[in-house]
Amino acid sequence: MPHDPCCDTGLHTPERAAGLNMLDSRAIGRASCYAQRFMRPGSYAYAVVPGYAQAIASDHPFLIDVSEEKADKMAQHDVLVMQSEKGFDVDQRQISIRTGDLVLWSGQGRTSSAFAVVGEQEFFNSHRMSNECGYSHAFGSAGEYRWVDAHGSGLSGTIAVSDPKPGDRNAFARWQKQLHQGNVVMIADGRAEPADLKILAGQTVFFAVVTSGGISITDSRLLEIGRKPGKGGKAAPEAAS
Amino acid sequence: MSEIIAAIDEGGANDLLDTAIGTLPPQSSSGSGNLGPFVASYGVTATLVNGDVDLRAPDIIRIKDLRLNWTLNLSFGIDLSSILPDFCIPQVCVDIPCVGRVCTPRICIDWPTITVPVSFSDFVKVTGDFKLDISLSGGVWKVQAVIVGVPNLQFGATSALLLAAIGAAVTPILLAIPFIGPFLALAVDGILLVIGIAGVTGFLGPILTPFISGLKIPIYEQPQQFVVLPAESAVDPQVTIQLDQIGAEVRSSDEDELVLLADISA
Repeated sequence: MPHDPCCDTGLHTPERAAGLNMLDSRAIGRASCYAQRFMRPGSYAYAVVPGYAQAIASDHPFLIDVSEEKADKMAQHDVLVMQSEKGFDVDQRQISIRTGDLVLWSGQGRTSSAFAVVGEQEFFNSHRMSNECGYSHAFGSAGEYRWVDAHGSGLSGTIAVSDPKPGDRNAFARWQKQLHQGNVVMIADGRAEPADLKILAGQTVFFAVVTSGGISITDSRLLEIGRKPGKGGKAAPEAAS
Repeated sequence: MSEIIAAIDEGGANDLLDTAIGTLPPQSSSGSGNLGPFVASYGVTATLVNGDVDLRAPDIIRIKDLRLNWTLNLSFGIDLSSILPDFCIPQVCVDIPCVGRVCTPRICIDWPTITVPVSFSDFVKVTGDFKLDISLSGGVWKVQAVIVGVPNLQFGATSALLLAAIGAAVTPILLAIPFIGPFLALAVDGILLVIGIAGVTGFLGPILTPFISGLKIPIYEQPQQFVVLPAESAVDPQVTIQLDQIGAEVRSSDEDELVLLADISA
């Protein structure tokens, strides 16, 4: 596997691998992405900080310029998040887009810790997703994942992830083909549709937040661990029960 | 002609060596060794159990089925990227109503390095020839049976069992790794294949052989001078005997005997 020394620091252990693939939009892991649409022209400064550390983002060194030009069709702009000893960086520190375009941030599997995208404006924040944004997550292990809004809106759903168990070369190829199939959970007006979803391990779910009061998509077990005395800060395994 | 001659037959020698080997404390060692392509650190503890004694004139005690019971704790690291093929989650595109098409990038997973701890106990039987070694050191006579040469330990089924134990230890560790599910069998098979029976045997041989190859079994130990009668009064002092010379050999007549000879002076 090609290895980018700039973006992979520290010993990569199973615990780290599991910790970097948690279902939690507050901390974008290796197989997750955050996307935001910009519906009004203007300049939007933002920072990329370690996951859960949105409160420390006082400096917003990166910029998205949104022109008044409105496209007939939404365009997507991908921003690669990189990591060095100095912290997080992006491959395009300033990008220009049109009104209605979407920007998607991803570490593309190379960051050695999870991150959050924090804009100056309240609506633009992966820690607390509001409107016209989304979070994607590729589920790495079989099990049942109950996701909740860590900010307490009561929004929740389940993703049942089954093990493909490809027994032979053909089954393996079929599974790899199925990985291309995306799944969408639409979130609007305090409802998730579908609330329950069945997928195969390795498949990706895109949580599209149309309107909300500011939510997260968080594996409920992460909150349970946070509530247990003496276990704060310990990451839940990515594998569900 | 020696002043004292003591002899025991093979049955007696068996009992004597049962006791002598039973007094040997458990032996331990630790270090690192090659487990196939991996470097494993280990700690091993071993105890000996006597086998069947066969006395062979003039000076060999052969012990058949001398049993070495051992417990091994080993740990080794595996960079899974050297075992598993590269894996990337492909680009995934979804159509979002009223918004449009959104695509995630292709995301490649780099497999982590795992550490596999394994605990395993078993035994190995060996037939060894021992020579009688007599020494006077620090005023003490010692007769020991010292193994001759380096016996070749045959592990046979042990290697396969340890390999299976490695497989059992590695599976739950792999299960915790995201995206490995479909590759699990491939990973376990790959790890066991690169280690192989030869790798296990090559690992066990050098760490267990020293427990046998340098083996010394104490048979007899006596201070050169010792009191046979304590002092009774000022005119009746203690009686001391000095062992001037000690000899030991295997004699074969009607039956084989282990013989201890002593020359003494007052």
